[in-house]
Amino acid sequence: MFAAFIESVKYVGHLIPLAFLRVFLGYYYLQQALVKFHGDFLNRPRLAAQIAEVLPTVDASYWYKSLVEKLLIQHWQGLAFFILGIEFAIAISYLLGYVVRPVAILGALLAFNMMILTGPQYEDLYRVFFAMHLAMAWVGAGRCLGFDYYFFKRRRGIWW
Amino acid sequence: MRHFLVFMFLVFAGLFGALFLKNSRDPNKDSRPILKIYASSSFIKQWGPGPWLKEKFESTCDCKVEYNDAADSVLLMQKLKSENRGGGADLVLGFDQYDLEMAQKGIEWKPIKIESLNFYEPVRATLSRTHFIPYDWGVLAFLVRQSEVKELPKSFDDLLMPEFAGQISLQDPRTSSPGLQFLLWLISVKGEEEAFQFLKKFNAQVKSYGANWSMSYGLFQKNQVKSTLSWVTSPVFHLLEEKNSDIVAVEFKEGHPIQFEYVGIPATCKNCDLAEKFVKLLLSKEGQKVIMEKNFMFPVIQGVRDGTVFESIPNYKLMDMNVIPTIAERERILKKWTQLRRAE
Amino acid sequence: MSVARLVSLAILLFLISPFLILIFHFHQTSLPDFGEAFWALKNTFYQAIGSALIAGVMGLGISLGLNGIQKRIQFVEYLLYLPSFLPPLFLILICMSWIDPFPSGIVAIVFIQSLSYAGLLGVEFSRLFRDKVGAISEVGYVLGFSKSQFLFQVLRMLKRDFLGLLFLVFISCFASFAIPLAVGGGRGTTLEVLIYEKIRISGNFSEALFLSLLQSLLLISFVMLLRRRFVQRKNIETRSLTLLSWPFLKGAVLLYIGSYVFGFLADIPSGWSQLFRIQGLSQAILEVLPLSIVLSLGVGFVIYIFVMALAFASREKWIHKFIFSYVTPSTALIGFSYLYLGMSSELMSYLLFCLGFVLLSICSLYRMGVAPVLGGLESQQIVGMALGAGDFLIARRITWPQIHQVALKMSGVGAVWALGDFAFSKIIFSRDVTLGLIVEGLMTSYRLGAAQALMSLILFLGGLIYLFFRGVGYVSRS
Repeated sequence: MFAAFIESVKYVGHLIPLAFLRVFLGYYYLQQALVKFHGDFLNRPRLAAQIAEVLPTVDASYWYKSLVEKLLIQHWQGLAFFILGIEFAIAISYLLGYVVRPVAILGALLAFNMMILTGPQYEDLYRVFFAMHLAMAWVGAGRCLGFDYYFFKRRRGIWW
Repeated sequence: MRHFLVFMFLVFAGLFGALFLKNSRDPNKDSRPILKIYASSSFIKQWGPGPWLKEKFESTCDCKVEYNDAADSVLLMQKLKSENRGGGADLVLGFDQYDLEMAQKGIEWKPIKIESLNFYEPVRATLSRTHFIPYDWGVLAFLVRQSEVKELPKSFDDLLMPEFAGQISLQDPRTSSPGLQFLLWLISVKGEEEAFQFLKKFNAQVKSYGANWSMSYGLFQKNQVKSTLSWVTSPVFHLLEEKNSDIVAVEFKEGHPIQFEYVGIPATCKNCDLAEKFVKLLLSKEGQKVIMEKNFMFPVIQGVRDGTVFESIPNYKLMDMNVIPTIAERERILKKWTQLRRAE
Repeated sequence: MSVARLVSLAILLFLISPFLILIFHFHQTSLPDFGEAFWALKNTFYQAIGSALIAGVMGLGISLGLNGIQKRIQFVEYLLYLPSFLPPLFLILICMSWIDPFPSGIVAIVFIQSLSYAGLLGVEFSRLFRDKVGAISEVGYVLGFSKSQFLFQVLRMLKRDFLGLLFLVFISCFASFAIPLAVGGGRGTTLEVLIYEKIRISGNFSEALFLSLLQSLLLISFVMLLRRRFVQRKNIETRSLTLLSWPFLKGAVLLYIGSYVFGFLADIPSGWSQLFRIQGLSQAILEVLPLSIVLSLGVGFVIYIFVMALAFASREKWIHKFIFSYVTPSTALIGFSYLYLGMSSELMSYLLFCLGFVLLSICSLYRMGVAPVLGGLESQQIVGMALGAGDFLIARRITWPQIHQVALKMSGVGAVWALGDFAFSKIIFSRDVTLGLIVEGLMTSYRLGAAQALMSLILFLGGLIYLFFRGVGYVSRS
């Protein structure tokens, strides 16, 4: 498996720049997740309050707003735990280059929702994240300098 | 897909574990002193007096109350002994008079100073034990459903009536405190030899000697038996919660035994002052009322029952509880009881 | 020393650790009254043997009826398992509600215990028929065997497997405490009761330890004398077990399920309303729910690791014989021994709970599901060894792939037991951290209906957890 890690440079070397972007994103998400873990992200409903403030101004369908209000804001601790978990998953996945495609799709979904729910000041940032995750998923960025190459060689398929 | 699912599961599980570790280690969580109290599970549960006492105490003490479930007395003693190495309980609730001998072996207790309060007469007699103070008491009796019996039994001999054949549930004296108290009650009334002669006939009336109170009371609640051994305050639960006034505790002309529940402060307490203040709360009128209403036991202070349902409970003739058999004596009696059952 | 031997020694140490801890703590064991101990031992043997035999006969009837149910509904099997998961009090109440006047003595003990295990044996026997003689059944049908003739031959052929399952019930009944005490009358004193009495009345752990050691040694020597040879399981899909399905016994299955299900469920609606009336209880249940599930999954996970380790060490026959015959010390002794290890943090108490519960349940689970499968792999392992394969290769290629699903199934069963446990939890935990402890608290404070209602929730969640483990086994099958 480790041999495949190095071997990937030889066979999918054209993805090296994207691998660097992937690792950088992974590190960024790890930093953000650790700050949230050590801080009071899970103890105080800051995100929920922010969403509640922005929600009335959001141009989204009724069922979406209703779902956010009744489910996500009410159970803000579960939401916070879930988001933290996803961020850690993205961080570890991107750093190792393992199951990058499905995690990138998850990341794109997260970024998309955050883009809608966190207000105009963060909209551009999350739009960029959304695009980067999509790019990671499209290209299969885990194949270069990542463990995905090992599975890509042996199993092929849409997920590697 | 399988890899992705396993990966996500591991990440979330790891996060969960990390959060647990973080919460259990966080030193900045609360800087207030923590009063560690060991009490029985019925005391500390949501329906017991524990939560009210905790809230009341925390509002005045600038401290945090942490309850630990003591389960039964033997387990409690083992937990106290094992925790004493690192500093354990500040306060212990739930010993009865039969546990005190074991409690004093291997664990030092602090004497508790209490104000002179208007204690009930039977309670006053136990106050000579300065290391253990009673905070509630109960009177043991047989319970029946009035609609099921032709005539309420008035003595042990009445329980030998044919209508009670196989219709009584008791607790095994080897595994349950009320069961042991029944045996000692019988011996106290009839004398040891006659008591065991009586048991030879009485055991035919007993459907089950359950391992604990909940097993024998469960049979009674589910109408499997007509009578069970419990406390005279048990019918109050059914009256208040189920609006059922059919269940009554019968009075025996021979008198009834008492069970006291004690509070003690181990000598290794860290927050001994807070512990003493908590004892004061337990013995206050407010505290006693909550204990009475949630524990379904009598308060030790007079005047608390006035104006409540507990006031309507008749005054049962009580037995003298000054002589408590030693552990060795109890073992001898239980051995004799076991021999009797072997011969059945 | 080989790795397999090291693993076996580690497993042995784990299994006998409570004895070692207590002997180290007390430095000696003192001798109990042998007359009393012998009498208790006699009672224990009689009720355990009687329960195992009667449960076996009833289980056989249920299995023959179950085989006749054309579409094998998994749900029916889960319902048959149900009585073995219920606390003793509920079992006694259900039995007493059906029979009045209820007998007492050995008869009563045997009656209740055999009823509680008959369903479990019925399902296991049915699986045994399906896995081991399914194909032969079809051949026998073609050759014109009658049902009773075929059954007789099958019983002879699978004698060891049946004895193994009966032994499982024997051991469970041997260590039974609450049922013999409640309905056993004068014969209600078993070794477990004696052990508990020693601990409770005089705090005499030394005598209790001696009795527990005696109990374990007796059973080990009894089983060590038996030779075991299991017929290999063949996972052959069979369309029907015509010769082993007796349609008129379908009624027995329905009667068995009906008696427990209705007996247990009848009071559930009023129990739930009582539960909701208790202020703060719903909140408390929601708070302990995640930890209960996590602990249950943790126990399942540790059982899985343990079974795989055992499978790795399958060359060391002595450890397998030991586990098959070993009776774990009583819950109280294991709990107290772990208390002496000390619990410096909550995480430590969770870990000790998982390990302690695995210790309590692993031997039963091994007898129930693992031993027959492992025994059947012996010939393949011998071929592997003859061809020069090492322990790791044999484990990776032969043993683990074939034991993996069974290990997960046993993990699921252990996880369900852990979810409903309160006897062991009460000793390890100081607060209500599991649903089982809340049930126990309700039972000890007049609220039996609410306890029953919460028990139904535990059984439901337990079913989901069991399905989770089965699902993982299915998804990860190779």
